[in-house]
This record gives sequence, C-alpha cells and structure tokens, in this order.
Amino acid sequence: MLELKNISYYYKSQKDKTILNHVSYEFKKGVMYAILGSSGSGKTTLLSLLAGLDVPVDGTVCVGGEDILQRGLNAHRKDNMSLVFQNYNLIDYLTPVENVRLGGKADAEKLLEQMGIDQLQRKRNVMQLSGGQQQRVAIARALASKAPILLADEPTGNLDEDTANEIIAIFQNLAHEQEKCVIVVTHSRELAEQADYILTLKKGKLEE
Amino acid sequence: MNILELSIHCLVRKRTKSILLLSVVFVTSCFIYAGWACKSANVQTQTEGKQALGASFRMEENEADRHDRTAEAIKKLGGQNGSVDGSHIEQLESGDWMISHDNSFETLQMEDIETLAGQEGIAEYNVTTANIVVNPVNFVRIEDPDVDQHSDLLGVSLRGNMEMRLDFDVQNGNIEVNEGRMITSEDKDVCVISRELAELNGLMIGDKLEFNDRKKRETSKVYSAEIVGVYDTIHKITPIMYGDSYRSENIIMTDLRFPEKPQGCEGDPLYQYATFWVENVDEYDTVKEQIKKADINWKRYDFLDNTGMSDTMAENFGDLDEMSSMILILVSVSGAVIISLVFLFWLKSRIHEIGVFLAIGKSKVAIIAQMMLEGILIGCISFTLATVCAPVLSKGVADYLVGYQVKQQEEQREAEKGMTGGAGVAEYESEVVGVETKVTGKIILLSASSILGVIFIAVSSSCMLVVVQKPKEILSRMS
Repeated sequence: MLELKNISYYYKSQKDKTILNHVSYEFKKGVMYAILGSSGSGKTTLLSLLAGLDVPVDGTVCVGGEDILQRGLNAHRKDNMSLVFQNYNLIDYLTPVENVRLGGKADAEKLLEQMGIDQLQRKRNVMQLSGGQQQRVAIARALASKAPILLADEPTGNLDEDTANEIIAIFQNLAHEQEKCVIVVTHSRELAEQADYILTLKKGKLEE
Repeated sequence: MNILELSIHCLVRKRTKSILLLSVVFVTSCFIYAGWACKSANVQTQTEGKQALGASFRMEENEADRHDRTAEAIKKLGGQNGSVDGSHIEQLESGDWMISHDNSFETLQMEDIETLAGQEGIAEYNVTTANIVVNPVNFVRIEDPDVDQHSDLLGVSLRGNMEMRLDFDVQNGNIEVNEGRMITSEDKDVCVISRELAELNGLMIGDKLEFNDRKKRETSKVYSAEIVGVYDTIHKITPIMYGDSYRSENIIMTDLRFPEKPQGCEGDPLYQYATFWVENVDEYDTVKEQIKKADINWKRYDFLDNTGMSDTMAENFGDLDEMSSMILILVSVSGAVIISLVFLFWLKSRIHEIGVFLAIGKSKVAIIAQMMLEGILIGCISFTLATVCAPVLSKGVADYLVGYQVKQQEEQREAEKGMTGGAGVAEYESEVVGVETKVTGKIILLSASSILGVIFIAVSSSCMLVVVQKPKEILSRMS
C-alpha cells in the first residue's frame, strides 16, 4: 500500500547529521501502526515524508507502487492521505460541519454523528468545543477525504486518558473495520501497544 | 467547500480584521476616486478657463521701422528744415536737430487693424489710443502737494478705447466701473473718470468736462466730454512717465476719437494698440498663422502673442493636473503598501490556516486565489461605499486644490498689481469660483481599475509569503 524505498533524509545545512538513513518499509492496509521514538529521532520528519509535505534526499515514497512525486504531492495529500495532528489544526472561523466539509465531499453530519458530536455542537464555532471534541472533528475531517491512509501525529498528546482511549479505539476501528492503513506517530508506549505493529525509529533506522 | 464560501465565512466571522482592511481600502478608494475626479475636472477647467480668459494678439508700432522711417524723412529733406510724411525736422540755434512727429507717423493704421479684425477666427477686437496729456479746463486735477510740478505737463491723461470693457486695465481688474457705464464704440464725446477726480471736483454723471491743448492753453479750442461713468481704482495704475499728468487718478477714459481733439489734432488719431481675441483658444495657433498671411504693411508693426494670463492659468492648472496625478500615484503606492502590510499581518496570523489547507491537499494557487477573492470582496464593498461618498469628497478635494491655485494666482497678481498700465502687456482678469467634479462612468471605471490593481499588487506581494514557504515549514511553525 504505502512503501518507503531506501529513504534517506538530512538537512542541507547539517549534512553530517543523517535523520533517516536508507529506511525501507511497506505499510499495509487494514493495519494500525505505531511509530515510536525519542524526541529528535526523526518521527515528524518521517511523517512529513509519508504525507508528502517534504521530499526525501534519497529514495522514494510509493503508493500502490507509484512514486508520489510522479503523481504530485498535492494530489497525494488530497487523495491518498488524511492527517490528524496533536493540536487538531481546525480552521478557527468555521463550524465543525464546515471543517469536515473541507476534508472532502462525504456526509459531514453523518461523520460527526459517528464521532459523537451532537447536533448543537456541530453548529457552534469549532473553537468552542473541548479538546477531545476538536480531535474528533479533526478525525471526521480526515475521514471525509476517504483517503486509504490516515497519518496521526501525537493524536492523544493533549487529551486526558479516557478521551485518548476513545480516540485510539476509533483508529483501531478505522483500520480493522474500514480497512484503512493507520499510522500513528507517538512517544507514548501505552498508545503504541494498542497498535497492531510497533515500529521504532532509532539512529535513522526503522525497526519492527 | 469552495473558495467563495470560505472567503465569505472568513470575512464575516473575522470581523475586526475585515473592518480594519475595509477601512484602509475604503480610504484608499476614496482618494483614488477623488484623484481621478480632480484630474478630469482640471482638464475641463483648464479648457474652460482658457476659453473664458481668451487668448489674443496685440499689434503695436515697430520701433525699428519707426527709426527707419525717421531716417528716410531726414534723407528726403536733405539736411533742410521742413516736414515730410508726418515728420518735422528743425535745426535749433544751438545747431542740434529737433525731430517731431505727427500722430499720422506714429499711429497704427485703422485700415490695417480692420483687415486683421476681418480675418476668420477673430471674435472681437479693441483699439486703444496712447495716453494723451491735455489741459483740464473746467476742473482741477489731482496733485501731490509735495511734488514740484514745474517739470510736469500740468494736464490730465486721456485714453480712448473703441470698447472700454476691453481696455487692458479694465480686463486686468485694475479699475472697475461701479457707477454709470462703460464707453462703447457707439459713443461720441464721452468720458469715464476716477472716483477721486469726481469727488475732488464734485462731478456727477451727466456733467461735462472740458479740455484743450496743453501747449496752447489760452487760445486752443475747448472740447467737452460728458461723464457717463465713474471708475474705482482697485490697483493703482503705475504711471508710464513721471509726473501727476500720468498718475492713476488723472487718467480719463474716453471714446476712441476724443483724445485727438483737445490734443489739437482732430482727424489725426494716435492709435497705440490694437488687440484681437480669437474665437476658439484651441485654434489659437491656426488663427495666428492665418492672420500673418493678411495683406498689410507688416514691417510697420509688431505682432505679439498676448496670452500671458491664459498661459499662466494653463500653467497653474497644469500644476493642478500634476498635483492630482501626484495624489493618485501617492495614494496608489501608499495604499498598495498599507494594504500589503495589513494583508501580510493578516496572513501571518493565518499561517495556521494555510498549513491546514496545505495538509489537506489544497494547492498554493487555490490558497492565494482565496486570499485574492477576499481582497476583491473587500474592494467591492469599499468601492461601493466610496462611490456613494465620491461626489462630495471629489468636490471637496478639487475645491481645495483649485482654491490653493487661485490663491497663489491672487498673490502673484497682488505682487504684480498696477504693472500693466499704459504700455504694459495686457492681462486678463480671471475668476475661478469652483470646479465642477462629476463622477462619470469613465471615472468609476478608472477608479475601479486602479483599486483592483492596488489590491492585486498588495495581495500578490503579501502572498509571496505563502509561495516561498514549504508546507513542512508552515506546519512546523504551527506546532
């Protein structure tokens, strides 16, 4: 489904400091992955490369066997990927429904209902919702695109334990019921243990 | 969700920033409107002003030709006393030669004046005599008691005009007839005197003034002219020669053929100036060329452009036009800079939003298009509001600018007051009460284009921020 082929990455200003060193891995659909790593290990860089927000210095990122650069990064982000962030990244002047509609043409009301956002909450300004509710809206937006891959960067970082568990359950459901490839980047071992596979990023290498 | 919906939501829900931007664009729009309206009004006023003031030509005696004719007369007489062609030559006891001339030698020829007046494109003309000093018989002149009058001619000056309203001191606003009337070409043996002279002698309209030859005060024939008007001196006319005979208050305006009579030269007038006004100032040069082809003795005359005030006005309104252009450029540039800065400030606070859009697969072009649309929507609202305010604002700005120019002209005129008396160059009174500014379809179109241009430049320059950054950099700034 999503494949990293011999990926290397370093900052041009710091060529001697390799962040990713010839990383290769294939992510499969219907599976939830957790990528673990300490701060500065390159987790967010890897996520950026997978999401098409940045390009590797060496190697290729492929979806369905096709290099994402050939298709175009915008198209890759639009059609293949949906992103969920730690700080939700919702548009502050829109309602939950409008935010979800940004993600795609799917039924926003239905998606928000599935995420447990009631009708009254759906019509309020998104910034008036709680952190957990905002993260649910962000997930609903990610699902609206109907993209086969969902990337999440520390999705439970700002949430309490109960809400975090609910969000993890949603991710598991997306992977197992909706056959999506869910990749969660985290430094929380507790969260990682609920994934099907745990990958660790260490010294520029991705280990299973 | 399309970009129009997003733009509208953004503008409506981020009210404070929208109102700030709206205010800036509104003010810019108003000034751009005013600039275009003033520019248009300037052109209109410039043309109307020129037309109102009139452009003219002035004909006077050619000094070199006069010298040549004198030399020729001396030659003809072969060193003997005598008279020829209006020149009188007499050897004095001292051995020096004295040369004097009749009016016929000095005067402009009426048939030549009429030939020029009959040319196509000439609207009207006036003939003015030289200031002729004569003896006042039944009244006293105004004298400065502190001045020794022995060297003076002890008379008053008579100046004849075909049409007094076209006299250069009347046209220039140096004198105003506020009692009675001016002299016309139909009048005969009439005069208009100064207020001071009337008061000194207790003269009233209908009274008759008597004059005779100053050289033969006791024996020459007395001629009378009826007072038909009294003029007030606005700016004293600078005397053409020293002495009270030529002082402003002692100048008496008469009909064209009167001064020659008490001078003792009846039938031999001395026309010093002829002025011709063109019908259409835009055809000034064409008419001038046409006139030069007229069959008259050109050697005898100087033919001068007499567009002093017209040119000054044109220059002043040219300055005004320049000022309007400056306003337009200044407002457009400063507007573009300010709007760019406001947009930049706005975009910086929307970096989060831009990052989200990029993350969900929106292209940079689509993001910039949304910003542009927001700018255009703000521009449309501001422009509509500005259109409502434009007529009043344009009028205000135009009046201010014209007022400024007129004030400058007034100051200039004040500085030059009285400098046109006698042999001075004729200038013409100008009065600009205000400027009519119309917000026409053309002005709306020009203003709309300018404002759209300013918004386009402002948004494009501020959006460079979006273009040059990588999505990852924006997203990393978000976290």
